[in-house]
Amino acid sequence: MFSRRIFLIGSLALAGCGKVIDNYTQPDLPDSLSPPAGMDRHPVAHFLNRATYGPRPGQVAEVEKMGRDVWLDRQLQYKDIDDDKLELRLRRYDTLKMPSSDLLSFLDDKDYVTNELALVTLQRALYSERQLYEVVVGFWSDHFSIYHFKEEVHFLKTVDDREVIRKHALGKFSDLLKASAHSPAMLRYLDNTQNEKSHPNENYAREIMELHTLGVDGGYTEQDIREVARCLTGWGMTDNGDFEFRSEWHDSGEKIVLGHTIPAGGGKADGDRVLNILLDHPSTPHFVCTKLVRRFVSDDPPPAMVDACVQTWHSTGGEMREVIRTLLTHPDFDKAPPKLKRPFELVVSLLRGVNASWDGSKNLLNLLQTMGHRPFGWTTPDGYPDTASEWSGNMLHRWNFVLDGLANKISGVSVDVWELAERGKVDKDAREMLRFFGRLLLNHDLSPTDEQTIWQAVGDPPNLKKDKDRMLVALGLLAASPAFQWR
Amino acid sequence: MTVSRRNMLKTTAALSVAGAMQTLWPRWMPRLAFAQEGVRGDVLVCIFLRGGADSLNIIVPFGDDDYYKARPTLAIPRPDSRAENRVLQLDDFFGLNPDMKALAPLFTGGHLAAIHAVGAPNVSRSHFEAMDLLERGTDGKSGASSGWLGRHLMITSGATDSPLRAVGWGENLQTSLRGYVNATALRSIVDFHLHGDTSETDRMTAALATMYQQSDAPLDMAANATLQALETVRQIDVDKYRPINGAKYTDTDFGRALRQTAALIKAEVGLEVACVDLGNFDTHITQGVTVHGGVGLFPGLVVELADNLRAFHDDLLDYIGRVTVVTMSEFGRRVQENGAGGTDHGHGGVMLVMSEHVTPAPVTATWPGLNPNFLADGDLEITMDYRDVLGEILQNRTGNTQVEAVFEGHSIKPVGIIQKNT
Repeated sequence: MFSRRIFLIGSLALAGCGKVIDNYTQPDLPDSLSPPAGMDRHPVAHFLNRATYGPRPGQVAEVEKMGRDVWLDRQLQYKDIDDDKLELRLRRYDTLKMPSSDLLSFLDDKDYVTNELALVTLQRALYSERQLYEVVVGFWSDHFSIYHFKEEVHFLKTVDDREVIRKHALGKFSDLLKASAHSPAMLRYLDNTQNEKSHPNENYAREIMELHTLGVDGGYTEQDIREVARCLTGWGMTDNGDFEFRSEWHDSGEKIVLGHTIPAGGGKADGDRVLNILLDHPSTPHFVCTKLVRRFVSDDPPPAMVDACVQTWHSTGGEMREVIRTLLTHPDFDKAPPKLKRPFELVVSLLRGVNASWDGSKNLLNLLQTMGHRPFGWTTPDGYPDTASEWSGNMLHRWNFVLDGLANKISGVSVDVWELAERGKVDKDAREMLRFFGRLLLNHDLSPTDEQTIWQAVGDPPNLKKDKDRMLVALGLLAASPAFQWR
Repeated sequence: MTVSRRNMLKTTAALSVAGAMQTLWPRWMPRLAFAQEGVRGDVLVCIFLRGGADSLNIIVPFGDDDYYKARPTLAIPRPDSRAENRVLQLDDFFGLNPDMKALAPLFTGGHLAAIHAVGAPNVSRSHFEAMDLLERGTDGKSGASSGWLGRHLMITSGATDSPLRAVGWGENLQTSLRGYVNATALRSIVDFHLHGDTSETDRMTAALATMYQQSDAPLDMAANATLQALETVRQIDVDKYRPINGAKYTDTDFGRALRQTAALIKAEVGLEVACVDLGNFDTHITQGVTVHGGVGLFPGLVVELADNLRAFHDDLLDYIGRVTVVTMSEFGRRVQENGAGGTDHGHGGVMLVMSEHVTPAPVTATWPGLNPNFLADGDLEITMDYRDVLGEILQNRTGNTQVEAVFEGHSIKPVGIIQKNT
């Protein structure tokens, strides 16, 4: 599969030469850069701001030339996209492909496993060519949110990420839900591993309806929760972290779930039946599509777009690939209001936007933690919030991140704004350079008032040969401005 | 909306001028007016003892013989013993760990009270689940993802909220503060500043204020609150802060957090809630008895707790009528000591409440007894819901009139631990 050159580099990776790999796999910059100008939002930039973790330098022009539909087709057939360079970067993480039994052997070094998965999530967001897939994976990681730091979940989430979320992200929702219901990480996190006929635990039964399928107003009762919990008694895991049905724990009596009678003696099939009842319930497509539209389009999902997605869901049997296509090609998509970047999106969009290189060091995770958005760090099963009002608290960490990032002061991250300026042919003039970075990061012109405000703060535009520091402050303020907080 | 926002910016500008004048002032910091309409109530300082603190060796039930039976090596000797590390008697049944002697005068003076056999009735014995449950203040694992203090702050939020209204000391915001967007996680007051050359931060701040003035809610509100907090904090010179009345905080995260909390209270920056953590109380092995009793983790922790609480009390003597401190932990520990000189995860625990308005009784408890027949799976039974204690504090000391909305699904029963302002 790998070319000979990649094979050689791969051997270096195994020998621990991360630096060589990082340099080799750093995305190429186009020879010349002319990002979108004008005061209006560029439609392709808007599209990429939602369908990727933020466009890289030159990407808007590239996709515009190729055509959005062609790009979208390719992204939806993500497995056909060559991502060998990313794979090389990921070779340094040894727990990524381990089965749960091996992962559980890291009992004394839990952080090693959790950090690797979180770091890999960042690597993929930053460097994967399969950007839409990664964004959808991020959506499902919130939808089927599992808190990383609970007991065996430390180890099992790695398997859940690989075998549940990533395996089915752009496949059928039914496969995704069923895989999640058999995922030891989920069953452990939501206590179904303790769900026994004599002491039923309703935690997972409640959340699978409230958060994964029907939604809180989806039409189930407390009695339904108790009945679903009974159906799921005995769904748990072995000591090796594999799914296991314990028939001696199972409540074999008759159950009634959402009006459906499940006859006595069904065993494990009771739970399977519940999953099918939830999948066939009309609330499920509506609830999931509403969340998808909120993620990709607007904090207040437009009903027409939700309906269009639900329609596609019904006509394709819940093919997520097609639902996402409907959403991103909907006639109203270009009218979507701005979405506030959550901290993870702010971090990744800045680093992608300036083609930063990251050596994989943990510092970036710590920064995300400080901003309240470390991957898999949300404690409750509802996943990280997805609306602006829930993220508009303390702005200081955001500002400091972009100020430090553009001044090249984040350890493990290196940003070369001068190379970008050279490719934009603006490396001789500070005013031109700020305007260029406005276009590069915002995909439209920096507003004249913001431009003026920035130069007022920094002082007269500096001579770039002598005074590089003040230029960096100007760029930092640009990225700290309100315009860059939205996508 | 727009008008008030502009006004806020004007305030920011005015504060900058005040900042420039600051060097002329002899005081270690100026008092900034986050004038509040009417009296808000006490500053609430919530201390979480992480890891499951061994309540039986903090407030010792020396009157219960089963305590001594269950703890052949870890029990603290009765107050009438001749041992140097005997319990300091509080009433005829309970006594104070002698390593916490700094707090003894506060107990006898009626400034500090303990509630024993308290906790969350359905709490799990897993740290994560238990801390999560207590900090969210909900009944079960589902329900609100916000914290009890977050909801309290939302309910009592007003138009003139200070940007430093709620501070969580540490790297990350405590779960209990979650749900109130303007709660700020601080490692230290000095860390709360805009990065960059200090000679330029004033102009950078001004630029941000201008740019966010033209932006849309809710971001502009958040930005303005952050800018005001930056301005306030900039004027507090922590290094020059001198605790009074001989108060000595330890040079630890916990000591520094309380010291800086005291500084913020005296600076009258509008602080209403502060969360401080102390840990790790998860003493499965070699717990230790008292400082004089040899090695172990526990004695050092309770000394740190007691000495700093005392320092905080003395330092804030002039303000103490408006400050309430409460301590909690996710659960207590197993009554029976284990074979490794430690104790395993238990159930019922203890809470301490420091205020000028606490009940005169040093210990409030409906004692379930430590006889193995009375235990909950080997642990101290819980006879009082921790939400009743927190609810009473919110009700009587912070002016929250909707406590039932903080602890949804739980009706607060009076504990009689703390009195209302008269």
